[in-house]
Formats: sequence, C-alpha cells, structure tokens
Amino acid sequence: MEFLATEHFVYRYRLLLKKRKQYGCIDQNFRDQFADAGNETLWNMGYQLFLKGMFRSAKVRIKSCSGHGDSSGFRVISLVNKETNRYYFLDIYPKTGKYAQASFDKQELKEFLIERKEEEEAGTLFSVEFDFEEELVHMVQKKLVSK
Amino acid sequence: MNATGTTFKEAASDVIVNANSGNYNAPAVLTKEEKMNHLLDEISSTNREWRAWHKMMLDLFKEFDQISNYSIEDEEDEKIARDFIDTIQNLYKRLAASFSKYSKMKFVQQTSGKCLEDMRLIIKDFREYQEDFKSSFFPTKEDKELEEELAGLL
Repeated sequence: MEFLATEHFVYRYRLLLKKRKQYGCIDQNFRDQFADAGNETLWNMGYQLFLKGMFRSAKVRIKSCSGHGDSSGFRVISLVNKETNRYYFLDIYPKTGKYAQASFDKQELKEFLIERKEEEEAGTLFSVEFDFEEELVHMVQKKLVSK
Repeated sequence: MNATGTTFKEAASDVIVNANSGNYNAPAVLTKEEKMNHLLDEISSTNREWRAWHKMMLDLFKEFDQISNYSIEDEEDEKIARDFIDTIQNLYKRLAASFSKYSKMKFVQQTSGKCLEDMRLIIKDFREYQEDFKSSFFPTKEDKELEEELAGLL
C-alpha cells in the first residue's frame, strides 16, 4: 500500500509533534499502527465511516502517550482506494490535551475528500514513509502521478 | 456477511449476550475500609482486574470497528441493530453510574485516579460509538444526502 497525506493532515500532525510533552509518542504509535499492516488489514482497519465501490473511509484509533490505551489516544481519518492500493491520511486529532477533539463530524469528511481530490489532481499530496532506523515518520511533498 | 464469514447477527449478538451477562462490567473499586483489610497481593490482584477490564474494553471497541462494516439488509437486521445500539447505551449508563459513585469517594480519588480516568474515557468512547452506529445503521435524510455528496467526491 502506498501511504499519502493531505496538506491539512501534515499540518495537524506537525502541530501535535511540537507538543512533545503531551503527544511526543505520536511518531512511534502512528508507525506501529500502519507500517507493517497488510493490505487487507488496512482496508478493514477502524470504524467505517463511508463505503463506496473501491473506496472506504474510516476512523482509526491510535494508542495514547500516557498509557491509558486507545481511549485517550489519537484518531486518524483515512481513505483507502483498493483499486490503486493508495492509503490517504486526511485528518488526525487527539482525544485529550491541548488540541483535544471530542468527536468527528461527518460533514467535515466532505471538506477532506475535496482536499484529497484536488491535491491528488495537482500532484501535491505528501508521501508518507516510515523510517525504522531513525524511528521517524517522513512526510515529503513530491510530484506523484495521479491514479 | 464479512470476509471471515461471520453474519451481522452473529457479530452483534455476541456483544449483546456478553453485555447482558454482565461480562463488561467494571470491577469494584475498593473502599478505604476494604483496602485497609486487604493484603498487598490482593490489592495487586485488584489492579490486575482493572487492567484486564480495560484491555477487554479496548478489544470490544475493535469488535465495534468490525461491526461497522455491516449494513442493514432486512427487518431482522434492523431489530438486531436496535438491540445492539440499546445495549451500548445500557453499558455506558451502567458504567456512568459506577463512575459517579466511585468519583464521590475521596479515598478512591486519591488511590485509584487512573482507574477513574480510564473509566471516564471508556464512557466517552461508548457514547461516540453509539452515535456513530445510530447514524450508520439508521441514517437520517441528511445522512443519506451527505453520503451521496461524498460519493461524488471520490
């Protein structure tokens, strides 16, 4: 699966990274959730928000930094295209701390899907790469071929 | 039916039966007097019970995620879906009652703060799942319109 992220997602992710004390584990927990998962696992992962043909959007729970399990962790809003094997990260928010968000309004998904479509067509999506040696998640904007 | 061959009825009923049997109930929090009379290993065992319950809740949420893949096909599914949503509501109401009771106990606040915080977060998750399931299984006119809009944005 090829992992891609919208500009909005990258902005939110980097915002959380800056709050090291509260959200410092995000790179590790994000990588643990997605890096080694097979295509079928990725397709079925999380609470299904929307399904249409080869596309599935979901809300995925990521573990917290405080040891309280997934409940106080992060939520990732994703979109998978089974046909092209592309996994899109659309939004991320924590359940606790400074940037806490209680729930996700499905109306927001509309905005995120528009962003994803526009950025894919413009070739400005970010490529997400998991670096196990440096224990980092790299998000690099590079010209990607629209599928 | 999903990829593993489990029907919606089987997946949802499993949760309903377990909930009705009290299998998801939170363990008791020891009162001051009880705690004073307990030996250290017994207190540790209570902590283990809490950890086990917390893990069970997280596993239950994974099951919820899988159940979200089903759609309502007929009247029987509709009935099961209603029971399922009611079950989630009963679960979090029961938990909320326990939380309210425990959080008023000063001694519990001082010694079992993490248990209470876990409980509070789990209750919030149950509410969120209940809302999500309601909108997935019984979409309103607005939900259906939104689905159509989303389909046009892929």
